[in-house]
Amino acid sequence: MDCRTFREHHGAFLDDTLPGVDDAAMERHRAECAECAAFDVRMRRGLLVLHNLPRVHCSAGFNERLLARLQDLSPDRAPVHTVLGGSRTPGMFSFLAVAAAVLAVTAGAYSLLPVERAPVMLPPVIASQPAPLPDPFSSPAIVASAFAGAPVWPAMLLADEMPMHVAEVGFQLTGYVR
Amino acid sequence: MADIALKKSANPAGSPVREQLRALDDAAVVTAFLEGEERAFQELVDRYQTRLLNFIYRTIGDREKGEDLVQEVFIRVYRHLHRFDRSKKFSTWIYTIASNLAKNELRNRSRNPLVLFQTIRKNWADDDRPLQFEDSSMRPDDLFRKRHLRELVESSVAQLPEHHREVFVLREIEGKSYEEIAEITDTNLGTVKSRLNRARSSFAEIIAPALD
Repeated sequence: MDCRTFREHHGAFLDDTLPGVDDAAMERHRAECAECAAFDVRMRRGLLVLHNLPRVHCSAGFNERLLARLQDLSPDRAPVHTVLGGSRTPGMFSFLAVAAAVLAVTAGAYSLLPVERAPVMLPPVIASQPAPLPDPFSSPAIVASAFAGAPVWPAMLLADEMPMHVAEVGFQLTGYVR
Repeated sequence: MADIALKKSANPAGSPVREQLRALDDAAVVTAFLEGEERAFQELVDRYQTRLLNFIYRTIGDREKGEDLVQEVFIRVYRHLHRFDRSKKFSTWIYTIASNLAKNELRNRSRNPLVLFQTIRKNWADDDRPLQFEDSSMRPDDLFRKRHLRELVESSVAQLPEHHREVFVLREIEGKSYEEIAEITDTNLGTVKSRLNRARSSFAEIIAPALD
């Protein structure tokens, strides 16, 4: 490995996302090249200091100020506010519950009345043959992969179809015995 | 509703609903809020306020303005949460809002030299503050060194170009994946990687003399 490749891959080296072989090559180069070793140390030390930077926190009045700003939102500018506020007021819940109860009672009373009902006409049932199972040997995926010269895919697709073929072979053998 | 949403936060921390919300992932908390659980919004505020403040503060370099922008993020979340595509990650969405606000702030600042000057003045004033929030058990020279190092790191981050700094902060301080950063910053993965590499190198170059 040369120094340029080392620098190019150094980001992934820091993130530990290099494949094992490349990672080993990077470590070998670092052990051999003093300049790249110094570069690596410089980067790691800088990031270590950065990672240990204390986190800043919101001031004590943050929530109160946020609350005040949320209260300033007008209903037409705050659809979530309107929708949720409307559905959450106890008065609205009570109204909806009463309305639902009245509707249920009305529907129940209506169903008890003697009503002249028309005979139910069901649509005619049309029988149809079940679709035949596709032949796994001539599936579009296999044909496409054969033309593309990919020898692996047909084998994988055949392996996928294995249970079906075993069943078919069993059926043929039974026919042969007869 | 806003009133309810945050006033409920005054409930004791150990209340069962808050405990249950704390155990949920972001998507479930968002769903709970949209289905009428007001305290879920406070849970989102609790989860994200510090993370967003750190991200915005390190990006724009002004803590007070950073807090204002974090508030603005939550206002926008509150108003538009019903439009959030719940098949996506909530954290990516909220960081995207924060990132856009931070970029706007930087853009406004570059157009308005007075704002930039005021920010610099404010940072000078911050330098004069006594060490009242530091750990009093440490020796004064340790305190000085620690504070000096912190300021050095912050100024080194601030010296990075805007695009590099944003990616650098998201990766190194917020621990976001490359894919998430690409989504938040609306750039492709290759750009994220190249910006991050350059930012890391620049940062290391800037801070190295102080660490040697």
